Amino acid sequence: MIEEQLLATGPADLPVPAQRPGLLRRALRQTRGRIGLGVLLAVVALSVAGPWIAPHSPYDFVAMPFQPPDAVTWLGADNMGRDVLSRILNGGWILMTMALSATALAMLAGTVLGLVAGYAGGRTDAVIMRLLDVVLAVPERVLVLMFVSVIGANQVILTLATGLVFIPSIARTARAATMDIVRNEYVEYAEAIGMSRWQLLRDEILPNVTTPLMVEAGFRLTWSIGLITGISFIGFGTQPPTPEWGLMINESRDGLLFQPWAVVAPILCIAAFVIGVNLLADAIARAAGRTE
Amino acid sequence: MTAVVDVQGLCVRLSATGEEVVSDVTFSIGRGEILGVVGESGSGKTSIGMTLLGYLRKGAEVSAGEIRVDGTDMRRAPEAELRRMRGAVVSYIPQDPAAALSPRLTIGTQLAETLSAHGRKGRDAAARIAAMMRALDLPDDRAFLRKYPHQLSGGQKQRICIGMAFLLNPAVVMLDEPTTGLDVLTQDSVLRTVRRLCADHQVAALYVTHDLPVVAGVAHRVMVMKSGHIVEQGPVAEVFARPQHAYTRELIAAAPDISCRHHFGRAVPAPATATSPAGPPAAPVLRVVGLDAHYDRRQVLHGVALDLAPGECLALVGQSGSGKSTLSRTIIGLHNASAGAIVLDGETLANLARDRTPAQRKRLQYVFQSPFTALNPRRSVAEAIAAPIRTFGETPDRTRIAELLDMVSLSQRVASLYPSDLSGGERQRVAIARAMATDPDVLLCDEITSALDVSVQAAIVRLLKSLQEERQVSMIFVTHNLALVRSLADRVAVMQGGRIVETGPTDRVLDNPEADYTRLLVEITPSMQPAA
Repeated sequence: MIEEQLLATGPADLPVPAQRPGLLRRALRQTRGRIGLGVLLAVVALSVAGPWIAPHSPYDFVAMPFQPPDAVTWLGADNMGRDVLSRILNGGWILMTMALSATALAMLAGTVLGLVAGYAGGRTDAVIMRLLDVVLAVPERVLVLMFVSVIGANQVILTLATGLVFIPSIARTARAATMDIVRNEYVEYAEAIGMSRWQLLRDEILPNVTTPLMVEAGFRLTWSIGLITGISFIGFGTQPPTPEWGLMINESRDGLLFQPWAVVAPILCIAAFVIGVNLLADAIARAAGRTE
Repeated sequence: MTAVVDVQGLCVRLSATGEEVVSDVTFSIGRGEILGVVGESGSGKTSIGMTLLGYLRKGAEVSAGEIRVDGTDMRRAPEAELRRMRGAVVSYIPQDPAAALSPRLTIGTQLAETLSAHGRKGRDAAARIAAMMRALDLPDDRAFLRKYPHQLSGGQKQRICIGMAFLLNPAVVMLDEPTTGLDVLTQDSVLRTVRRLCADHQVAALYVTHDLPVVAGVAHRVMVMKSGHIVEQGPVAEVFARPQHAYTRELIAAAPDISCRHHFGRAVPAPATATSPAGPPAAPVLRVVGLDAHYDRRQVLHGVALDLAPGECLALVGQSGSGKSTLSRTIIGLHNASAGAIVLDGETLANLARDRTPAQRKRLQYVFQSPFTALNPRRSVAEAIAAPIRTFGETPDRTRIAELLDMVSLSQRVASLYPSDLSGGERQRVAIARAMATDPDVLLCDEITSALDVSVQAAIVRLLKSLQEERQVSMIFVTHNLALVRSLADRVAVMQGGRIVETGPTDRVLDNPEADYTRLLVEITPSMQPAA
């Protein structure tokens, strides 16, 4: 009799493994997630295919400065008479590469620091977090400006500086999530069998903190776009004649009244990119909050 | 005796799927009577209790039947009427008092709220609260009422919840596993309070639990539930002595009882192990000498000494805070000892697991209390079992994992599943397979069945016994459940306040306890056998 009992609760009727839909899939079940992904894909597609489909070279002077839109220059010309549409199409991937690299850099460093701080605790934790607090104490924009003005105003420095200023917030997220996980008995078990610390962080902890980190990554990507275009706008990032969206706004702002497209077009592109990423990140955050 | 609660043909179903979780349940409770409802997780016992309050969790609905509480038809009563009745006519005592009390309000405020919600305020209310505190054996001075829940012990918190439930002299009280999280001493005092209050105030009580001995001690009648159906109902003594239904017999067979050894369905009595008092004592495989341990400045272990013979099962018992978990964690190397030594087969072990040799770590394995946090949710069962093998530098092959799954009676299909796909009992089996993967000499089990249903607990205990017999694993089994000890352990060590107060063969310690503390523990452990 008890045998039947055992079987009923034991191996006989195992539940069919419920394939839980992944985080991204759950995010895409929401309208905001789908719109976000749609907008993002459109901007990315335009930026990737841009250089091939651009009607003109982004550097050639094809019209009069501030030429309004016509048959040759669909969005008109900028302050130097270059085709706005071609510059938009060529400029996207530069911004995207910078924003993605900065975010990836910050994620990598922030995650490692946060995991180590959260797992080790004690003095290691204190040293890491206080150092990061120093970075956090200075406003992001001011810190990035400091780097690019002291070391050099170019794309690489701007990307590195942007990555650096985002490390503390990512590290904080990773640390908080890690401290929750460390209390679990499976981490204690791994310690009791003497699993190496590196292996423990990689196999036992990291897979369990990816959800909050993915959410964080989405928001950091949004912020880095704003930061990079902002710094480029005031002339400390990408240098002319590179067709970068933030820089383009600055270059053509004198003609805002008689050739608004030279300014409005890059603004719309940046806005679409930011809104797309943000909606998607928000959907991921909601999906994560709902089930885990 | 007039029935205060009268339930006829009650059915509850989930609105989404139409699945019936309670089917055709009929019962009644008279004034001053306590009805125990027993059954395993998911048997619908809590849902039945909640319908008495005119409440069901989201997604469930009463689809048929009649519920009368003190003459009121709970299905048809308007919401305002239900609100008036809850607390005043029918009240509720929750499972987890820590979650039921608001951490930001003093207990005095929370008790007064119960009264003011029903229009009683001022001097009369204060006098009532003071009287209730005296009835609960709690201090009735203002200083105590100004305390916050976190300043009280678990038993005190549960008594406050009981007080809130009885404050308005209700006709019916519904208790939802109110002693599950409490240790045996606290459980005993809480149960006595409940029994006394029900008798004094002539309250009808519905006591929901999965613990059969508790029902035997507290209830007048018992109702056994299985998947939403009543399988048997009757006076407690009658049902436990002569169970009519097969399922009741199974439950009783699965429930360990302190008064006799259960073999959990085994026909053959467990063979006496090498450590029977008669045999020459074998050299201990594990020896703990004068162990001290601290949490910050507070000393939690005071010179603990233990011997564990090869193939022996030693039960470590004591109430919460007695230091039994700290002791097992110190042995495995997760907690730092401040004095003393742990000797494994003649080798003195380093304090922390990391500083021990791989061979030593391999021989000493640990199974944790909670099946829900002991396994990494992102690792499949096969990966979980392979982890210790890999850590000790071997390559886990399929046959080894299949063999381990087989050892804990899990099907091979489990290998590719994740912990979230498994039940609590299955997860605990995986945790045992993982511990057995290194072929240990000593297995430490920390309250590993406390989160499981009785039949699952019985199956796990059977598994441990077979591992002990077939593989000669020595075991330290930490528990606060003396009933389980009788059926599982060869020897018992009783802990109190960080010291071992008594050790000896199981039957001797439980039948003729020497220490006062052991005697107290044995006396208050509820039993299904009529008091001898």
